[in-house]
Amino acid sequence: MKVKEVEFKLKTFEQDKLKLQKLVSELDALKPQDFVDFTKNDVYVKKTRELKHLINDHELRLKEIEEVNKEVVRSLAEQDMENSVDLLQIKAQTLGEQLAEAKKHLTLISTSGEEMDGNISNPEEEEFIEALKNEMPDVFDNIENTELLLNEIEKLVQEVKKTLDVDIMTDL
Amino acid sequence: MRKEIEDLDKELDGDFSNLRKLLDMIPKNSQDLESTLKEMQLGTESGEDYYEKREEIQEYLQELADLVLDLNKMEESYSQFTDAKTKLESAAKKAQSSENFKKILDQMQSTKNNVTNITTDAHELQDLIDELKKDTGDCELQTTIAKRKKEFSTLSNKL
Repeated sequence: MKVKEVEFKLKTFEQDKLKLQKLVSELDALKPQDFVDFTKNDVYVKKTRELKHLINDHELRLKEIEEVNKEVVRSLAEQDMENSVDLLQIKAQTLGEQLAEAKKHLTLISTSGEEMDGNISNPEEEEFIEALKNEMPDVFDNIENTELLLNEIEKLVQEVKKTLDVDIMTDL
Repeated sequence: MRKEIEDLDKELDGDFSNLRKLLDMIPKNSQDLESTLKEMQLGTESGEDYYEKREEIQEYLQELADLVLDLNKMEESYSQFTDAKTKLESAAKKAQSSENFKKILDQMQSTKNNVTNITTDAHELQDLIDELKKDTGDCELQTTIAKRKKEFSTLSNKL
């Protein structure tokens, strides 16, 4: 709606610009002797004054168009932000679900490893159990950190949706 | 003496004709200048083209208003003197004695002097108008139009 308003105003502006151009050309074509011809120079004084008022009027209208245009740009930016936030939220939720699934499986593996500890029958199993013991704490730490990050993302998503704050969006 | 009166009467006709032409011309010139000054006066608000000239414009318009008053007085005198001339012409037709002729001749000469004086004053009014026109100059139109072109160009660039 607003975009159409800007387009309409700009179109009207272009038409008016031609009228103003015509008036400027008309005055520009006058010769110095016309300015001291007191039978008609009152008309030129009047036209010059009217041209000033028209230009001032157009300056004001242009400012109005700029304001509407700013509003349009702002609305579009907000709409873009909302869409991006929605996408980010979905992505974060999907990641959260995948992470929970992975955590569940890794917990099973880790528990099995713990149960197998002391009941190993060959060096490969021993190597596997050792590796599990060494690496699983880091893996679970990473999972925990990622969960915290995903929680933080969810909070920011809610905040951006509420405030449409560009700075928060940038943090996100 | 009748011949002298007739000759003077003819001279007066010429004087009246010249004065009439002046009295007809001055109001037109004055009105043209007044129209221009009034248009300029409409642009004397702060930020407008003739803001700096506002006092001069007001002064010129006042001078023109005074000039119109003088002109009205001249028109009144012109009517009085044309009436006087008609009466003297009528009296000259009826006059018989040389004393009457002399009196009419003197009065006619006096009227002629008065018409000459008014004609001089009328010339001065016309000179004053010419001087005001000279002072008004080109109404700064060349400068103002150049300014408008620049303003229009700035506006166009914003689009």
